[in-house]
Amino acid sequence: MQSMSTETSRRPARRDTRLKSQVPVKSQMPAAWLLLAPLMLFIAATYLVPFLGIIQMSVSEPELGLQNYQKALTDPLVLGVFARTLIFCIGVTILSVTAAYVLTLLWVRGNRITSLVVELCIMIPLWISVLSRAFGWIALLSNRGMINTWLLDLGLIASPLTLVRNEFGVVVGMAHFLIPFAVFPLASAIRAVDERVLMAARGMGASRLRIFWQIFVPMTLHGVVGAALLVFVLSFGFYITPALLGGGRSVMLAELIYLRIFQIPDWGLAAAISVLLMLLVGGLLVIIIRRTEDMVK
Amino acid sequence: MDSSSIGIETIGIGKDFGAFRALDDVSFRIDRGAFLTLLGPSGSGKTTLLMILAGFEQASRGTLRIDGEDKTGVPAEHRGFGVVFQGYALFPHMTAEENIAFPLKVQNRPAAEIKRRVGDMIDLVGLAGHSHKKPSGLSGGQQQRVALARALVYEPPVLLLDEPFSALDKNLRSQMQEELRRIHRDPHVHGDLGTTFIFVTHDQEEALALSTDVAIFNQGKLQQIGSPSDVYERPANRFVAEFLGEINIFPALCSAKTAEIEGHAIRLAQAAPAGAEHLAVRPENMDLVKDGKAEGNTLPVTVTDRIYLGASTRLLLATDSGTPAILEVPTSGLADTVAPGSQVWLGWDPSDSLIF
Repeated sequence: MQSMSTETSRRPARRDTRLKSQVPVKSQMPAAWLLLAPLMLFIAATYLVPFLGIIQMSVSEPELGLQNYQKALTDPLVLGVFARTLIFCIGVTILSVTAAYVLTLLWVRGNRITSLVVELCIMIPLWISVLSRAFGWIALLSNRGMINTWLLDLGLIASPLTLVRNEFGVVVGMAHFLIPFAVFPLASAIRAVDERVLMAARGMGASRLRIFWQIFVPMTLHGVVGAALLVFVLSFGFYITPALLGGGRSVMLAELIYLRIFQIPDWGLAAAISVLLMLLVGGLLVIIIRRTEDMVK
Repeated sequence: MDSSSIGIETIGIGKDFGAFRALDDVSFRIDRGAFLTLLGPSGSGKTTLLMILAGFEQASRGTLRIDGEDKTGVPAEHRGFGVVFQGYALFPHMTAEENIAFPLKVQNRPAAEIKRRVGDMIDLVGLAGHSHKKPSGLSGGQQQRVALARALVYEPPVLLLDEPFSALDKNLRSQMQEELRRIHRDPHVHGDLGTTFIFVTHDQEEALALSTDVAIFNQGKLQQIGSPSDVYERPANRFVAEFLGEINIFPALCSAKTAEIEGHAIRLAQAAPAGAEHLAVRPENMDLVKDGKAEGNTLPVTVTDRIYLGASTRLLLATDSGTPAILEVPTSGLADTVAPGSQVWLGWDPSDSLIF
């Protein structure tokens, strides 16, 4: 997914060498596993074991059976939250990837000053915790926040706009968090575009618009798919940003799980929803990875 | 040269990159339908000139005329030239057929015409059966053919090729060279007016084999332009003489009709140009003279080494003062007397001397 460079002729060759080198690789396997073991153990201890506990909880709380799954898949409230989360995440993904594409173009292909400014705009948010950023957005967007105050003072609006503690605030906050994650797969795809391919299209008289849509975008599509996949998967499990910026009005899946644990204790249902969320994200990953592989072929 | 037949004319073209002068005062004219090769070592300015001819780079100075029209400031997208890039630069997401059709779609040609022309080009470059494959499914040679077809499909007046065969192995390379010659002469491509081919290479054999005209560059300056036999047999200066093929160059004291190499008198067929300091002879125009008695000029040399090459043997030689020379002679009949250390004579006809 990462390296669909323009020297596409290399790809089959690489596949060949991989096939040929299977025998020596196999003989090195024990050493490789040994080196990976600490990481594997860490993941197993901190992730796999607790998750098995969640699975167990989902079929045993409050009593043995699949009734939690039945409830999760039939309860209109839970299904509604599922649907809303899905729509939200698709929207946030489209918004983030589009914005990231423009930013990445400026970063990778802009002049030195543009490139530096964009780079700082991408990097600085990565160093700030998601919690601080959520509060920052509240300071900017709330009824008495900077934007509303300015607009009121300028006389552009008569009463404050509701910019936060609603869906808008959640989308802004989530997109802000996710854009940098979309930038990196896009940057590797955009950097790999051979300038000569674009020159070739220019030499044939193609307009800039045609070169962009018919040559440049298709050549970076694998990066777009990679970025969308990453953003979508990350957005599905978002908790803090929707909780703070949504003000409890636009409940998303992770918030629902939280509510079922701390406010209306129903750990079995919370566990069942977690497992379903995991399966959904895992399933999407498999589908999209398969599709990317086909596309790259 | 009739002015209506001039394909490309450059007048004092120069290009600076900051303080670096990449091209300096390049002026030449070639006929429409010619096959011009730009030849030179890397960094000699040949690719810069190609990019200026293509319109991807703007000249810092000078004028460029194509078919009599001033095209100096016209950008690449409005020149309508065909370009074949090093590394092919195919559109990786399109099939061979779609790649070739792209320039016609840009020009909004009718679908039926696009289909017909693409089909013709696929036949011309020998890609039948591969038209639905993407570049990643094609071999290097096949990708090269797609690039060539894509650049020629809209019948450009000028086709520019930037080291197109540098990534191919030797056999495929000579095969593609032959095909390029054939395509250059093909009436479908040539049309009534003829397509001018401009080819950049650093491979001198390729240049001599393919071209009607060869332009040799060094350090941003055009050293000589002429037919392959012109530049090979009558090099304008020492750089051209040394760059093309092999040559033995001796420091010489030149006067009107004679010259002297290390005290040995050498007859000249023509007057030496003023200020000439070197006499040069291509090795293939020299003979091994064992007793020093020959019709033309002779020069005593010592054999320093002999290299067996099968049918021929290469002799490394040195004059008395140590100027090196080489000679390739048939292995058969070459006696052991020509062993390292032995004294022999080089003989050549006065008309084969080059003086500069």
